[in-house]
Amino acid sequence: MNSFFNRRQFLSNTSSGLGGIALASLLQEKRLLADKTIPIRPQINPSRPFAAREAHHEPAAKNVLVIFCAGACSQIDTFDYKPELIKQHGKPMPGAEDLLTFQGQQGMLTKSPWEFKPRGESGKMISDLVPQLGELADDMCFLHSLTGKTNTHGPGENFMSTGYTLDGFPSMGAWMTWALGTENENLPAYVAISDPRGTPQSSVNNWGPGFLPAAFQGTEFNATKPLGNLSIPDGVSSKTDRATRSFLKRLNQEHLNRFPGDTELAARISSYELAARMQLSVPEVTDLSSESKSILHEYGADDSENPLKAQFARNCILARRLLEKGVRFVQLFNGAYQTGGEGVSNWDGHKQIEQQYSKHGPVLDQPCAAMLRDMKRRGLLKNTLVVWMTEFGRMPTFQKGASGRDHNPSGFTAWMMGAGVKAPFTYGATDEFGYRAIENVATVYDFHATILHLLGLNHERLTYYHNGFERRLTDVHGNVINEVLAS
Amino acid sequence: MRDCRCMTEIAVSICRFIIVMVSVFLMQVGGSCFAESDEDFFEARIRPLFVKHCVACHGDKKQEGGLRIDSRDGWMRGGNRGAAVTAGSPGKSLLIQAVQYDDPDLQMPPAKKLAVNEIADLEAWVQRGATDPRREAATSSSVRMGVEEAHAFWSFQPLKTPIVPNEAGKHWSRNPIDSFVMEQMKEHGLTPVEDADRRTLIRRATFDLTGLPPTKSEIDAFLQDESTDAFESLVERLLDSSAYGERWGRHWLDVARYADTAGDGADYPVREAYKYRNWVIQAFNRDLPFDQFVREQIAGDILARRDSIDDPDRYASQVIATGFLAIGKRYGYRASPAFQYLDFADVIDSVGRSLQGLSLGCARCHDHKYDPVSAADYYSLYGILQSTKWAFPGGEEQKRPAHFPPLVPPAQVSTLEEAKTAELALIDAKLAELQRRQKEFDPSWRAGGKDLNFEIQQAGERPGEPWVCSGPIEIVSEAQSPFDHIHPKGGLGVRIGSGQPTDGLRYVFKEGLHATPGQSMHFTVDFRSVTSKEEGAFRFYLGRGVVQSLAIQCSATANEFAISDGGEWKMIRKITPGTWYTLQITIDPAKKTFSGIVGTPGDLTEFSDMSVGPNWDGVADCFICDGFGHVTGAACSRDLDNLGLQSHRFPDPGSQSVSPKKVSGDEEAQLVALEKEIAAIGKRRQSKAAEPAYEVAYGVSEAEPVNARIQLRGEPHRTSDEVPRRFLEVLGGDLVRPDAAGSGRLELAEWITRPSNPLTARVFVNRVWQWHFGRGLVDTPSDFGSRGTPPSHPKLLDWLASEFIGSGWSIKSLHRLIMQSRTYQLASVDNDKNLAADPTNRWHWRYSRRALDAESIRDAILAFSGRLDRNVPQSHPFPDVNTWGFTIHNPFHAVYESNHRSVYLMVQRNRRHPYLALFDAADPNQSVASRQPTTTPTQALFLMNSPFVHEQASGIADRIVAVPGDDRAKVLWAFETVQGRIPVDTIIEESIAFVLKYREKLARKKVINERDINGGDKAVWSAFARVLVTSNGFLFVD
Repeated sequence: MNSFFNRRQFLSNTSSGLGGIALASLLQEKRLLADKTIPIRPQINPSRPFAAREAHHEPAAKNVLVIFCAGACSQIDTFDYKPELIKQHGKPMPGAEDLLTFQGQQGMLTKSPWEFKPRGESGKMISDLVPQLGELADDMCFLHSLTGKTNTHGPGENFMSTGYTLDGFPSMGAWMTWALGTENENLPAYVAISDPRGTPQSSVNNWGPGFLPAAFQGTEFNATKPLGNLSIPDGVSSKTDRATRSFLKRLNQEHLNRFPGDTELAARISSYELAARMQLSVPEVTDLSSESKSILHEYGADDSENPLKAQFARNCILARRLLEKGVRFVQLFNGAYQTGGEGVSNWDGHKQIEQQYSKHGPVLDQPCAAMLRDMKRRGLLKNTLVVWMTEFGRMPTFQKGASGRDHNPSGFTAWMMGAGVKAPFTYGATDEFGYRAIENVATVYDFHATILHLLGLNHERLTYYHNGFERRLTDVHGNVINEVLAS
Repeated sequence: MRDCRCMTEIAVSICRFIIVMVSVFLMQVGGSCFAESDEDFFEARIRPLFVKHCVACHGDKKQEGGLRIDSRDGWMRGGNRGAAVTAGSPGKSLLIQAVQYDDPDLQMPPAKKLAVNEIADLEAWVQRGATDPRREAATSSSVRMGVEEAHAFWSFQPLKTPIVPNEAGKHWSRNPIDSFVMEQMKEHGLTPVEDADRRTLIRRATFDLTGLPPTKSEIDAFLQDESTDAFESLVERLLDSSAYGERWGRHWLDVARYADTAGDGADYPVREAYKYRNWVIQAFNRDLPFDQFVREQIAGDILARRDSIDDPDRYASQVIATGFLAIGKRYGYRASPAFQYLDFADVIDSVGRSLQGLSLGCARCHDHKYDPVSAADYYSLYGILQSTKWAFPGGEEQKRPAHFPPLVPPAQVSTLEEAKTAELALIDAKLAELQRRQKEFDPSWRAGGKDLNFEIQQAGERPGEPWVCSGPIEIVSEAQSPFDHIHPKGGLGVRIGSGQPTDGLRYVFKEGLHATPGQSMHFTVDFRSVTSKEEGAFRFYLGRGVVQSLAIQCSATANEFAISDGGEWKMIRKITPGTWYTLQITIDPAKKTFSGIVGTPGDLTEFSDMSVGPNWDGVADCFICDGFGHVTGAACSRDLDNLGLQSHRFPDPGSQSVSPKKVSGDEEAQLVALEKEIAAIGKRRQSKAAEPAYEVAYGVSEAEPVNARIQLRGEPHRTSDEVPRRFLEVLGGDLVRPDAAGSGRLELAEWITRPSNPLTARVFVNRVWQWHFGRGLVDTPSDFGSRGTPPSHPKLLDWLASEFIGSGWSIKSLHRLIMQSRTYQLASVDNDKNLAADPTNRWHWRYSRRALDAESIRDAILAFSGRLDRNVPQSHPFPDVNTWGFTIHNPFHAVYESNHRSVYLMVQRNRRHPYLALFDAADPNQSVASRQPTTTPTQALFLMNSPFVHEQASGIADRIVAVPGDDRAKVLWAFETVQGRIPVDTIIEESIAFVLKYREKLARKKVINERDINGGDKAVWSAFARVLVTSNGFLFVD
């Protein structure tokens, strides 16, 4: 019964002054207390669990958009330009004679099939696989030196989304909405928009609540797959539905009158009200018919020749609409679980990377770039932090006997954009081939700590006591990468 | 510390110098080899000596004289007399003085002086600089509760039997629980609220003990029972109902992290998991004493062999109980010790949390940071688990379950296996006899099947039944094989043209052949390539089904013939286009090899000792000729004829010439009957073969006893000292006797359940309290360590624990005790003064209202609609084990609908059941001490709009419609059924008004649709039922 919807817990939290002191003195006594690690617990009103809450410090960003390219999108073929790789194309990678990666032995160094060109005023080299995203280079802050702890997709997604390779830990979005609530209580605080092709490999764990109260899990829907139980079933008209709801409210009100001190009863009543509002607000936000033709065209939502791109474009429009409405955390997936074979429905290009990425690139590029341009025009980037990520990187070599790249967690790229980040900027670097991070090597914990920091949260103090541990998104690691913060 | 280290370094360098000087001396007295390094010297001579003679009194457990010798830091810090060792100076070292026995006040070890050579070793060690690699963990000295300290900590203290403060609640108390509660209430200036009314009480008790609502007639009976012990009778009735175990068993299953799937990436289903679930439910229902409940879950298999050989039901039940250990989250791809350290981490942590309230898992990588649990404790338990054989549920690399312990004693295992073999042999004999007769009757049945020589087919057509084909293929007379040593010379064969690799021909042998000891399998086919144009190869496949399990594959181009030897292609001979060849293969299933001949009667090439496909499962029932040969490219056209598959040898090529059979019309009819019988018996054989010879459980059994080594930082490949199998030091540290056979699980079970264990009873009675009241006396039910919360009512906790043990660990007695208390029977009303002083009701001035949990909501709604199926289901409808091929990329996932109680729903570990997850049921990935109920709009949407709620509401409506009387009578019946109470008059009036208005609305044409679908008045009551089952009056229990 540690729920924050629990009346008792709520009250004990609001009176955390006293409880906190008692606990602190106990801890002192046991010499347990280390500096600056006193947790800051969000104070959650059970009848309004999603009400906006204060951050730990002045936040640079209010909302987050994560663009997650499932399948491990190759840095070598997109954002991490390596002239030496082009020169050494076809030669063995020095020192990697016996290198064994996820799927086996490595072949020769292989340059990207896509040409890199200088983009924007900054001249950042970005490949022709994502030309429209490339045009936004001046707004981007690249981290080229991320390092991971796993080279397997499921654990890799978990690591990027929850900070742990195992299932069952709270996702970044859950941590943030638990801490901060949301600006729009008529919509879910946290929305996961899955790819038109389906959910990613780790599926719900990417937006799961872990041990945090389940209310803070991501709600999953997309422009084509509506939220479950959202519509009134056949056989009930909206008129009679309203009648039953108002009678229910009357019954519950009478019940509450008998026990006015019980906030849990009030919370349940308010959840029906939110649900009823969501019956209207969710269809409204997912209904793209009010979007202009030019917007649909800009995103590629009208591309009849590439229906997949058109569907993903609709998800991008949905993401923008949700952020416009004040949804705290939006997770937009590009790429789904393996169906139809390796790399067919996501970025897992082991065997035929050129052929497969030639399909994936256009699906991502135009809709995603259009969304970012659109967000910029509408001023959304002033308070939204955009983060592009993938589970890990890929090898500069092709796999032996194949025309694709194996997994590589030793050095990979993510980029950020929007509120609070320095742009154009590049942080960290991999070696001459893009294989291993060598300059300003950063961990995923550092990455997470930085994102939390931008939202006004101290990653060491945003903790949740669970099964004997003060758990954090960053486990016991992580340092904010101050270099990427806009001054 | 820094200074100390410098000092030591100086001392070490000084003594290196001295070593040279005294080396001659050393060699004489110590017999030591000069080349031995300081560290080796310590390891070989000093560490064992310390362990043997010193550490028992100067270690973690005891620190006589304030001194510890179990680490360098320990002797450097020294005890009451100061540092024990001065490196390099034996003369100045207290340790040396003590062992020399010169000072009558300082003689160690106290029992007996050390042997001369031991003293010399110690002197030499100090002389050499006292090298000692043993370091205290950096954190342990500052933060961790030591074992000594632990004995002063509340939860490790022995159970006390506190005096009941009778005065405190003299006029208020009904039993001692109340006296303890009142004592605290008084201390905090609180007064209890009034007692709950009877309706509240029966609803509370019924949901609490059974997870189901009281029916209207049960409420009536209770209200009418005027006897003084009416509530006692009610509690007895509820405790006696089978629903009690379903409710309280589910509580335990939360703690036991129960799931029906294994939880590795591929999440293999566990067909036998339900047996443990049902065992838990039955254990509660029969009030199995809790100590025995625990013993059986840890060592049931050992107890079964010891105590229950003559009681088959008890034997099975005790083996099933060990599911508690096995049922955790698994990480392995295959049954291999290499993956077990993560499985064991789950088991150790779960056993610690569930039974001892200790987070033992923290000691996997290092000594526990806060609690008195060391890494050595962890690996001593690890050794016990390593000495245990674990059922393997199936995984990515090894896709079939293994090592499931039998539910019968070992002696019966072989008997039952033999019986099964014998039964199969009988069926086989019968089958063989029928097939022999079939052969006599059926002219087209020969060599193991019908039409294996294509003679019943039509020339110029594609082959039909029993053949299956695709691509360019035709029956032609030119394709008649010239050989007649097996099939008579006919006039037809099959010609397969060049096409896609998937094109070709398939034949399924109805009965097929199954690997049987002492019996070989024989296969034959005649073939030739027709053209030499194409470059690719055609293939013969033989195995189970359509490449489900490959036994043999041969491949031929126009010019060469190859055979796959365990996956590797071997060239057998050259062949010539247009020439007919015959192939004969004999498989030895026991050796998994095959041999044979290929060629023409005068030109036969032999091959032998080829390996069958590495994953072949022993069944051969399908032949395929397709284009997946040893050479890629389009396969050449080829002719095939005269196949055969049987369990006895075929005649040699050229050895005889067989002629066709002739049959009469009467025989035709007999043949049809025979075919039917053969098919039926074949089916019976298949199901018999699939049936296990004996039932098994997802549990554990005994393996070779072995001690584990400490794994540094929890990494299995970085091992340190071996630790003996023993119990946690803080709880006694008892050793598994080295001469004892067995893993040590029985001992572990005894150590946990002995009444002197301070944690077991405390932890469990606290859980029972928590499940009754929504909150434990200890707020952290699975953490009784220093990071947990101390008890609100320590005396009450101890009193309950003592009573519990005194009652023979009877859980039902504990329920009676708690439920008879006035504390349990208080109303759940507000009281402003109390609310201000104790908003969380920690002091029990009222009964805390609780939200219904996932299972109760669903079960109650099903009960209201009359559709709740109260039968106890057995196994889940998982896919046939022979089809399992789940991988991380293609994991098992299923949701099985049923109207059984929710405890029987299939609990999937990785992809959780959508309803159970939505309403915060326990996450089976780890032991769950208390659920975290949440209130979310998605739950509200489920209650408002889900098909489930609407279907059940329609069922409730049927029952309401059937209630005799007017709308008022129906409204009252519905309220009493769903909310357990009669509402105030205004609400009754408003309900009737709602019904009337709704009826009017439906009568209007606009909403005719709703009326049509639900049929008139039923739609009205259906809506009313929906309101009630989504109301707080239903969803909360007062």
